[in-house]
Amino acid sequence: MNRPAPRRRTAPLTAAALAAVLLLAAGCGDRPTTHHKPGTGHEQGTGSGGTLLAARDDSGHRLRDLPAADAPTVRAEARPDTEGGWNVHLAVERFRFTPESTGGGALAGRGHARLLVDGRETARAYGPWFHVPPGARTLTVRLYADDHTAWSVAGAPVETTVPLASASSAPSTPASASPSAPPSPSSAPARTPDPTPTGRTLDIRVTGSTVTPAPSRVELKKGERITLRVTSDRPDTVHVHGYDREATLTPGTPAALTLTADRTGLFEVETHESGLVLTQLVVR
Amino acid sequence: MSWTRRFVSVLSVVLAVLAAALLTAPVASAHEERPVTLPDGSGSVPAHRTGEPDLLVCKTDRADFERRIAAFPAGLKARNQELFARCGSNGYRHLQQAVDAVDRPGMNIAILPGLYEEEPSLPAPTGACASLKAPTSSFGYQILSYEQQARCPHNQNLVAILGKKNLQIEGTGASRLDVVIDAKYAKLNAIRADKSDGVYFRNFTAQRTTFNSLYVLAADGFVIDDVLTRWNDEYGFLTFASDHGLYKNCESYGNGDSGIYPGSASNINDGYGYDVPRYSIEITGCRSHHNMVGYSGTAGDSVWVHDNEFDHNMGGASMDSAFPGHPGLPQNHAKFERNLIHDNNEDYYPYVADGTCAKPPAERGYENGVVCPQISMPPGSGIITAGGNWNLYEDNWIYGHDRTGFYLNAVPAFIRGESAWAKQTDTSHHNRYANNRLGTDKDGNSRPNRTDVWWDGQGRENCWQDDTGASSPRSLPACGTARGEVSGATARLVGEPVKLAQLLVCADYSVQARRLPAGCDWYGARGLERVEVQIALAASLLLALVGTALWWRRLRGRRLAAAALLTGLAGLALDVAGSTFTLAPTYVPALALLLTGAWWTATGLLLRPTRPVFAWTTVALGLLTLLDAFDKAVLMIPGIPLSPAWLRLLLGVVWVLWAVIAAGTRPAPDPSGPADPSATPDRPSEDHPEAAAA
Repeated sequence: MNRPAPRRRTAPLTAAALAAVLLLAAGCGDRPTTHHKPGTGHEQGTGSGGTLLAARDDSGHRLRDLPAADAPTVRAEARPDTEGGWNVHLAVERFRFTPESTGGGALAGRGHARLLVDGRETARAYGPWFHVPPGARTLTVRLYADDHTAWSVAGAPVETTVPLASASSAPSTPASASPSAPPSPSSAPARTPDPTPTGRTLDIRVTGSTVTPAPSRVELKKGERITLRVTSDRPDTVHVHGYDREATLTPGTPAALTLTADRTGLFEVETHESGLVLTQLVVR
Repeated sequence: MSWTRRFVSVLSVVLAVLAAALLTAPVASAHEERPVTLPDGSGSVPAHRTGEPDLLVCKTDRADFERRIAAFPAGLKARNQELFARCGSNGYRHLQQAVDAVDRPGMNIAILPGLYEEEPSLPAPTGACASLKAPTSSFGYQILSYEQQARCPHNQNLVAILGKKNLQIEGTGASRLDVVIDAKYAKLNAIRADKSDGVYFRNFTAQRTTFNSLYVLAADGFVIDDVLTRWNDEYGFLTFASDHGLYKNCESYGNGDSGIYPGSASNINDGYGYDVPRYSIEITGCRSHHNMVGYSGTAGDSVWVHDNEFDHNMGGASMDSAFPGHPGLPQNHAKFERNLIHDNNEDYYPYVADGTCAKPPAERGYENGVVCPQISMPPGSGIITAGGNWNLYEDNWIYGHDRTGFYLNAVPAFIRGESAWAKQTDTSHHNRYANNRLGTDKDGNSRPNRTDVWWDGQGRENCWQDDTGASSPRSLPACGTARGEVSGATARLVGEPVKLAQLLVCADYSVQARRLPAGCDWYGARGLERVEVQIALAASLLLALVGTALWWRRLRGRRLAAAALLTGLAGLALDVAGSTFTLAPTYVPALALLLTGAWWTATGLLLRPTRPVFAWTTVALGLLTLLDAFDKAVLMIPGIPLSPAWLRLLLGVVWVLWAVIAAGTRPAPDPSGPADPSATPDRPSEDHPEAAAA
């Protein structure tokens, strides 16, 4: 609605300063209109977030349709993990994970992914990497907007499905450890991952001062359980503030810390030695 | 005659530097609005009303609502279910509809858990509203009159509250995140309360605008209680030209200017000293983080800011007098008490450099931590005061800053468009920094600031606590125990020259043109890139060259002169070292001045026999330099209108020219003089020194 502002007061600073001095010296002068250089553009968006359809996806969320050229895309790649299950990487285009604004209005090109294991919704992904526990056969990843509507093109949700169990040499159980070992050589004792970890599991890897996935906020409902699986490349201690829970980190070995989010608030998860913030738990 | 003309020209240069330096002074904030006058102050801070709401706002999707309230405590859950049932039959679906239904003062609107996108208000204006006649601000939007706002309330606002008295809008969720009003970057303001005295906002979130989320304008009486605002081009909360305001338990983050901006708060204490009858706006229990600055107050007059936390911004808080059009300038009488101001070391300028901030607001990625700093400011600072008077900073915790805890400089009045001579030095005076815990967190852990104070040296009766650590200048006027007591109070008209030069360079920032001045350490310049080092290096090289030539031609063979020269060269080298980011707040710069001053003084004394006038000028320069060292390291000399550095600079320019002439010409015959008796064989040039010099 606003036309670009007419160019005003674009004279170089020094010239303006000299002009000001001359005005001053002359003892008179007009009041300057503004000395605030125009900042960033403040162009008001059209608020376009696709077309809300009456149709719903199989988990009951309404579809939000975009033309194919504007719609996000997603591809998933699953690799077996040495301790069982799969490490999954999402490649998205025209899409940005926005964990902070989940619950807000839908804006094209942002939101989160929901993971459906064997057709059943198990978790959300707020970043490109996550782990799927063993026993799964297929994984479907679907992209959602901040308002929990499903992005779609021509009435079809934006999603991808990868078979897990049938992959050529991929193990379907943690017992048959894969020889085609992924990069991290783990000499860890064979921990038996809880097959039904109550609540969500968040995998965090610390390499030097890099935290993967990048630190963000995890939203929890009060009473929800969460398991933090932290793998560090050096000895350290992971600490959940507020709950005052700690776990010792041995290099290369994932340490699991399960807690029930029974207090509301914002709690930081930090490493003690390296002083890194791994994530923040928002319990509401 | 020429003396007066020279004086005027010198003064002009000084003022030009000053003007340019402060044109977009270190931090400041401004927005363009229709002309508004401050309220008459007859109102009062509204009280929260707990009675039954008069108007209800909710969405219709019951399943969605049940999910949202599932984890609420039983009592609150039942209450929300009851309200939802009532709202279904006689409530509103959009907040604007409820606001429009307000027909008398003192009504309460309850807004139930949900996401409010205010779809009817969202579209861009059409018809007559699309072609309003109004001036366009430099920001690109139209400056509408109140009548135009009333006629076209959604040109700029998602929710417009115009002229409603004592209205209360309260979310009924368990937390402020349960009710979200989302402008999705489609409007300048998410909520605008204009001429709405006594408005009370409570327990909701407003977000994602191209200016500010919650805007209160020209209100006598307002409360912002437990409200979160985030992700705005400029401000989270902007309350402008208002009185009897209270912010409490609020939070704001992700703003390109500041989280909290009580701009042009009512100027009720103008003319008072430290003891004032009341404050116009109180801010307490708020947290403002991950913004350019946590708090900003262009004309933030009579604001009482206590028990807040401003952290992880580029700067914790700032107040200034740098922009025109704000009623109540110059800024005065802010009182900061018991605030936690720490770790304000974020640096968002790379987002300007890499083009992120040139994208439309919706695409910049504010939700992922991007902030687009709107103006030039020194990142790593605790509290910045760019032109302000009678401010009290007491009992705060200020720690963990990579640059400085307190930053103070002056802003002459013409920068804000006032040309009267008497006003040009009306800032920064009577600012008191006392009893703060500097470099220590609340648990007593040591979290030092790189320096505790950066001051340009200008102003009257400013003082700092005597346990201040590293600072620039190294010596500061000290506060007494009572307000108003200052030992060693200074009253200088202009700041230190090198600091003004630095401000001049740093101010040439433009987010729009993606211009980040290369010589300024605010944007990452280090070592030789910094303008201070460049100036020091250039000046030292010039002085070394001239000094060495002078010695060679006039004092060669005098052992004392050689020793003096070596001392001087060492001083010049130290001067360059002392201009670096690391050593500037130490005693090195003063030591450099001491050595250089000693050199000039000795050289001047040795030159007496041959060139008495030049010799005494040299001595004067030396003594001024020693005085400057004393001024910077031991005690800021009270009672002088300009720092010795200015006099040294002006005399230094004369001296360099004179020294070049003195070194270039043959010495006059001086039978009694011990200097260079053998070095004057050619008589002709002695008779015509001017010719030789030319």
